[in-house]
Amino acid sequence: MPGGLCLEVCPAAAEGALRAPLIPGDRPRLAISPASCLYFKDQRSTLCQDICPEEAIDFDQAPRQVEIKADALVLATGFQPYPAATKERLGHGRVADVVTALELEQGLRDHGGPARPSDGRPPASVAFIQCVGSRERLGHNYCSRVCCGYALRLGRHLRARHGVAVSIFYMDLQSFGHALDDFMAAARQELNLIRSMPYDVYQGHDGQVVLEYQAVSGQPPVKGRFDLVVLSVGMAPNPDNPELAQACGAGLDHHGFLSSRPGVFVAGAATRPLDMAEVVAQASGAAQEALRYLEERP
Amino acid sequence: MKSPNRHGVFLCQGGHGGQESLDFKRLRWTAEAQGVPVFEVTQACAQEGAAAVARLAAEGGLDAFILGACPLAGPGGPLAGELWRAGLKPEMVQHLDLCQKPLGQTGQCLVMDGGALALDQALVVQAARFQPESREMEVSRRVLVLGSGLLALKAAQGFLLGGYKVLLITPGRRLAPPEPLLGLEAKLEATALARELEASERLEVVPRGELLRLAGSAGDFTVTVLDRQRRRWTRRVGAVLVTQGPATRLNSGETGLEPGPRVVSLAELLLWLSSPEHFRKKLPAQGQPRVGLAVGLGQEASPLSLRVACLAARGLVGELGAEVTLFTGQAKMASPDLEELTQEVRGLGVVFVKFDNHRPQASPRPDGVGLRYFEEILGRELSQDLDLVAVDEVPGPDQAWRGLARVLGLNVARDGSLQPDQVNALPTASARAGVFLLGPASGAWDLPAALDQVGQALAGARALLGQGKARVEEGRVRVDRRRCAICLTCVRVCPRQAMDRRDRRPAANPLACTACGTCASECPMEAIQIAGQDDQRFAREIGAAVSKSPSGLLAAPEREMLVFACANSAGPALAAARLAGRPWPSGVRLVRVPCAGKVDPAYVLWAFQQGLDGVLVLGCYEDACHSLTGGTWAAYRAGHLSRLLTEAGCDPRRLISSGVAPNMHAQVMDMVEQARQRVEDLGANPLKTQARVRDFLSRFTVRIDETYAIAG
Ligand SMILES: Cc1cc2nc3c(=O)[nH]c(=O)nc-3n(C[C@H](O)[C@H](O)[C@H](O)COP(=O)(O)OP(=O)(O)OC[C@H]3O[C@@H](n4cnc5c(N)ncnc54)[C@H](O)[C@@H]3O)c2cc1C
Ligand code: SF4
Ligand code: SF4
Ligand code: SF4
Repeated sequence: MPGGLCLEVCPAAAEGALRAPLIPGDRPRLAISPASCLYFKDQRSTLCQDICPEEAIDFDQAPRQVEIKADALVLATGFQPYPAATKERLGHGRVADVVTALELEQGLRDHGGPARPSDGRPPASVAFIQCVGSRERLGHNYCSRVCCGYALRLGRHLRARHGVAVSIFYMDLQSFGHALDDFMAAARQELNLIRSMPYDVYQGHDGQVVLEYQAVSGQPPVKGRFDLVVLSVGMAPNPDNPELAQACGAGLDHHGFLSSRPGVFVAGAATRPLDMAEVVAQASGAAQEALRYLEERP
Repeated sequence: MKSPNRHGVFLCQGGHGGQESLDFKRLRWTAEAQGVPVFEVTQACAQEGAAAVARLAAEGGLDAFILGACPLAGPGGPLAGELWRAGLKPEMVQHLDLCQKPLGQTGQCLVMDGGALALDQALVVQAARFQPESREMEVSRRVLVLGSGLLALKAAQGFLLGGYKVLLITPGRRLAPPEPLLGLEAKLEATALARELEASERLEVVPRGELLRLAGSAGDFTVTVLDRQRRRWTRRVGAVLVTQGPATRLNSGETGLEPGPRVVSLAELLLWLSSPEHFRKKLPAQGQPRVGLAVGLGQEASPLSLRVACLAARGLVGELGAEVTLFTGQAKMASPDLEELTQEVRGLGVVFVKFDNHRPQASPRPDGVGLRYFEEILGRELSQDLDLVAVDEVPGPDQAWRGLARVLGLNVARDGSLQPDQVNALPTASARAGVFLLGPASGAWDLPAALDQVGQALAGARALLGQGKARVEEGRVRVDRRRCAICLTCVRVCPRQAMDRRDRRPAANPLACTACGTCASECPMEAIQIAGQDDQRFAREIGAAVSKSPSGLLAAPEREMLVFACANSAGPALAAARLAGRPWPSGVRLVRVPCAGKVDPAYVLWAFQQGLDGVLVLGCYEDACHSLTGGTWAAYRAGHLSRLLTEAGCDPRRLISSGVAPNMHAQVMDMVEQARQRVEDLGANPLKTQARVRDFLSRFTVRIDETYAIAG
């Protein structure tokens, strides 16, 4: 385990209250995650603050205002993964073995393999539900661009490395990049791809999760049973974008994403859903614009 | 070029100072035997310990030092900050992972088995450490832009504003953008831009020009151009931007939609729509025209196709009152506002028919096209008679495009782009340093994504060319002129095309070279050495990895194996695994290489000859290689080496070559463990005992010589 006295005394370290990145050189070396830190629950545990010889942890730190003079501003505040629990119907938070793709990835990273939250056992069958929080007329009315690709990759990984039978429920498969047709052909071979969106998710009697969906219109619905259901959450604008736009003078589109204005440059997924490579391209472009703005200023 | 002369070794005693184990003593003796000053510290993983290291290093006037400690004291630990504070550079420390399992500041660290051998290896590396001197290199501030569409014009504008010169080759007669797919607005923008740019003195346009040759390398290319008057001339340019794409063909797949008067491309349909009166004459005089639009029925399409189809559908309904059906494979919606555009078009009455596992079949009709298909949602066969069908386009087999790729020294990938088939290639990167790809050339057909790339390519080219002078490190790759036979193997194998020919001799361009070492491994004359990573160093490092203990002569020796770890993939993965507390298996030594391409087959053979029982080469996956071809070379050489080892009577299973990704810290130790297990099962390398005897005798001989020397 990476070092740090705080990490050794933290009773909730296993739940991720204190995190240390495994990539050497990543900063910060240690970070408290308010989501699982006990102090943020009831202010009781201050073990880490007490033991830290450097007095680096200060739960009572008061916010202070700092004034910085700058000629240009770059906003690279990114996105938020769509909060899946708001989709009551899909069972996140209600059915134990329904997780988001982000939670699945975190599990894979931390434990090396997939596990069901209910009993910690590796699942034999997994279903992905696509477009969670994307492509909805009365909500986020856009395609998030990355979720099909990551679901297909995760699905292929689960099958190849952990022998899991994988089904993916979708509307249209978005996938981009090199050797795409080969990738899609392999995915079709290895995964059970079902063009239908489940409309109900509930706990089955046998410990499995039940998905109800319509396979062919006019016929009775199908009930699929899976050990684990993964919600492919989309890329949503940060909830504080309106205030940020107002405070900085950035543009705000009707979805809630930001856009550049003279002197204020927006970089990355704060502008719209983009994958990693596109974020890098878009952000270097924004940096370029900012540079030119500074050069051209009198 | 100089190598630092003041070295040192810091050894951390872990949580408890003063309690010296025999293992720890061995470490000290190893360093002292090499005549290197040794400093003992405690808790180098903590702020205080790290500060002590930095202070001692400053006081001792060291140029570089090794810190033997646990992974917690390594990169990411407190030492880097302390060195900065002491006015020293963090690069001066070479971290050596010496502790069996990092325990943090409360436990006593146990010295890793074989720690003394690892330190021996590290001392070799230290001695070979290379501090490059930098020099200024003159680079050209002219940029070649191929194409004259919106992307090319935007890029040219960026360069002109940045004070660069632009040479622009266009297939057209003058600087006029080709008819863009996205209709009038884009056309107007591009035309206005073309007018604005034409006035610039620093822009040189070559109408109907052709690029014949691209010689040289990043910052210093020489282009040969054929102009409209069939004259050939050359210019020096620093960077090249490719914005055009390959020619296209109809994406009909197996549908039987053959081009003809009733089956056209979407682009052509858009053109017709720009004069609806004219278009109307092509359709039946009576009744509502029935038009089909087909997208992604052959290959996977891009969002651009769907966008164009929607724009066409809007025009067809609005201008001609047509009845429109849009047939699609996977509808690619992932582009700004495309979801809304499709909804709008549906609202106009356009019917979408989506196919997952089926495809429509076309049959010609006297005055149109018949389409029969299985409607997957309804679950039954349907058919439709259409007056006209417009089909999207995908990159076609294109001789001219292949020709251009050859001139640029690039390959045409399967998606028609010129990008390397590497998952980690950034959007505008090509395999050749200094050549940037935009839009269709990089596989991005969709305009929003392509426009984003313009900024990235500008940034990349500007970082390369700066203000006409670039700082480069001198002498990283040295070609020995006396050995070189000018076979040009190095020029061919360099993945970045950094090997230039200067005065007919190969020379690496430091702006393009990544010091991957592939050329050095492949040179048949051993004429190339990478400074700080030369053959001598690796030979000594491999030699140092073999236990010199003669005990193996009598008792059954312990299995010893070597891991060659690529710094781009296996390096970070192993470091993270150690940080996570995975213990290092006994009998396994590590040799770090800049790239798997640097693992010369001779190193592997040398390792076996020295008596090592197994060799594991860990490089990048072939399609995710940071220096593009390292993984491929490793796989190829493993096959070749297997044959050689078999011939030599050594079981080829002792050599394992495997791909790994930098984030695979959860798996990489298992890979090492499995390899070790296999070597364990295979037993001792038959050469081992011989090697031990040889080594034992040679040491004995040295002793005698020394005695004579002293006596004399
Ligand atoms: C489940 C999931 C899986 C994905 N998988 C892939 C994949 O496999 N491949 C791929 O290419 N892409 C993938 N993506 C997309 C990828 O995550 C994004 O493209 C990328 O993270 C965007 O980078 P960014 O820097 O623009 O934004 P972010 O990563 O969101 O970074 C924004 C940063 O700004 C900080 N911030 C926010 N607000 C403020 C503020 N007001 N002040 C200061 N700081 C602030 C945030 O804390 C954050 O650190 C995936 C996305 C999701 C949701
Ligand atoms: S990428 Fe796929 S899952 Fe994500 S919103 Fe688009 S269609 Fe839905
Ligand atoms: S591969 Fe070696 S011998 Fe051949 S040209 Fe290059 S340096 Fe000379
Ligand atoms: S070291 Fe690598 S990048 Fe440099 S010239 Fe040799 S092969 Fe090319």
